[in-house]
Amino acid sequence: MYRVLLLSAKASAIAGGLVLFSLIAMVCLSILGKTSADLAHAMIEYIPAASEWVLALGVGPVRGDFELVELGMAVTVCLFLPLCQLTGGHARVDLFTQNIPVPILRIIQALVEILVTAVLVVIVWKLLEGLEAKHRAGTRTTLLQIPLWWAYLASLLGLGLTALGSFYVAIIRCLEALTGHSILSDGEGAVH
Amino acid sequence: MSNLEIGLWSFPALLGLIFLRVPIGISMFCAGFGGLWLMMGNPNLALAKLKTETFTTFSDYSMSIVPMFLLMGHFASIGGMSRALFKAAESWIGHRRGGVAMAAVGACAGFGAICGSSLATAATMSKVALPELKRAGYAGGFSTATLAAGGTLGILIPPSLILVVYAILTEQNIAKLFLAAFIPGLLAAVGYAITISLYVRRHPDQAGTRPPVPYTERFRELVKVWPVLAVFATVVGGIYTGLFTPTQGAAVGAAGTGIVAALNGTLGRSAIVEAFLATAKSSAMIYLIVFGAKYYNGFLARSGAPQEVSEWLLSQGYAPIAILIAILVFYLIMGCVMDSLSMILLTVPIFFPALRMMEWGMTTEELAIWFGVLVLIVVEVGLITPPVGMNLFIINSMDRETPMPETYRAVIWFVGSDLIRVAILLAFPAITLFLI
Repeated sequence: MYRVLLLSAKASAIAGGLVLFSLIAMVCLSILGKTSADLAHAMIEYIPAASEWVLALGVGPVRGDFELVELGMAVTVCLFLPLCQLTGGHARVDLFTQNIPVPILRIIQALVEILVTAVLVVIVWKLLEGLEAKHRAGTRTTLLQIPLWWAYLASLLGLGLTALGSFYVAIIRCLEALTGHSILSDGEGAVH
Repeated sequence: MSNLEIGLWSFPALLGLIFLRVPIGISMFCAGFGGLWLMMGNPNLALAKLKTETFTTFSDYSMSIVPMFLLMGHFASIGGMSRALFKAAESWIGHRRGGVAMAAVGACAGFGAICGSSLATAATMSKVALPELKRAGYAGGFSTATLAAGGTLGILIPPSLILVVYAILTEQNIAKLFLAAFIPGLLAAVGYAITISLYVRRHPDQAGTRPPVPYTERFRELVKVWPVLAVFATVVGGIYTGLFTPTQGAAVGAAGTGIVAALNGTLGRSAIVEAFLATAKSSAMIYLIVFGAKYYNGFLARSGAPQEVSEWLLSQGYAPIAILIAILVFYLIMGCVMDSLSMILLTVPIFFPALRMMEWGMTTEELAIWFGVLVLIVVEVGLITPPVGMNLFIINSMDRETPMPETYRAVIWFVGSDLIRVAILLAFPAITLFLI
């Protein structure tokens, strides 16, 4: 089960990486387009033929590039979350739990994971309501007229998987607290 | 309980959650959620806020710099830029006493110019420099301490993820903050080099020496550094001149380092996947903290606690500089146990408005920039102070032979250098502000 979840989380992170990569490519293209258009406008008096040819190609910044970055980034982050959640990569403070006896620590860990799962479930639930609201209202982005609920839906996939992973870890931690055996090693933390 | 009391009590509640190992982002969210619930008498508002807040936090345009810079750092490391930097610095100064350690610091500074994260810089440079330091006869604890301190240059020298978050919080211009952090960042590198030379004078047995390298080879190694310079010049130059927004600069940088890695033939499929996974983990961690902090700060502002704390601070009649020093000391202490980003997100919305109301003889913008750079340095000191300096852990996990106490003994020297630098920057704001 953990294997399946980890594999999905990794797939999700790679998908997020691909979205991020496309955003980066799009932004670069947009800058390239804007710079060449500016250059062509500036050069129109000196080399009219070449400048007009460039402008006739319709070069310019990508329309709605800011919107695309915003929507794409929200989706990327949500796709990134499952891996961090499942591998215990979130920032925590360990100092004050170092000297607690293991059985008690296991109970604390189980409670903490239950809390995290509850929070994630509430977030997913409310995001779903937000999605419905955006869908009903037909909210779209200003320039490209992309329906906002599309991005909400994509984000929901990532967050849903995060909540699922958290639910699984919570169950494992509860089992650990009950049986007193270590089943799943704790995450090594992320590098930032 | 009055709103104000709820706001004030939320602090200990929050710390309690954090100390129980609840992820910091989730702790802040819980404190905010519970506080709003108590304040309103029902959870409706706390829940309703969530319908859009999750998405708007994650889709913030300025924040999108973060994953892009992280990916850029990973590509730079894959593309061999960290190795090229170290080799070049090492060929020039490696034969001096302590020279290999200084080269490692120099390479960290260079890598910091294309990487916005301390831990990533520490990890990357350790991979390259740690074996070389060992081979050159440097003591284990001295080597790990040098790299841990050098790693903080990743965030002190712009681009810097923490400064991005600080700029968003205080509504300041990111480009100006980067510019202001530049000289203090260089000062840090110089300070570390001086520290190393003092250290090897005190402990001559802890550093080996080797014959100098011929100049032809030195120049050959130096030429290999050009991609780093090209990327740095494009990204930072583009942002300063206003050619790009910071996000666009980050995108160009990520693409640039990606292309360099591809040209070097080191960007295989597994390397890309590795870079994606590492970027995913770090970005997700940062965004969760930002999400929690934004939610908590929204609640806190509604409770009126920040204003109350500011006014109380002002009414005490202490000199502004005394309050500023007290704040910096607070960060130094908290930095020993807490993550730097969370600390900034939690406390800047409280401290900065208070400082702004005091008389400093400078504009609000200057104050924001000066304070930002000072805070950046003191929270980064937390990364190398025992017992829980994250950089120390990262490097220790890469060098199992060196016991932690040996690292501690050597790293104190670098902490000392940091403290002296903070004092200098505090005494002379112009060092930070004259470039702006």
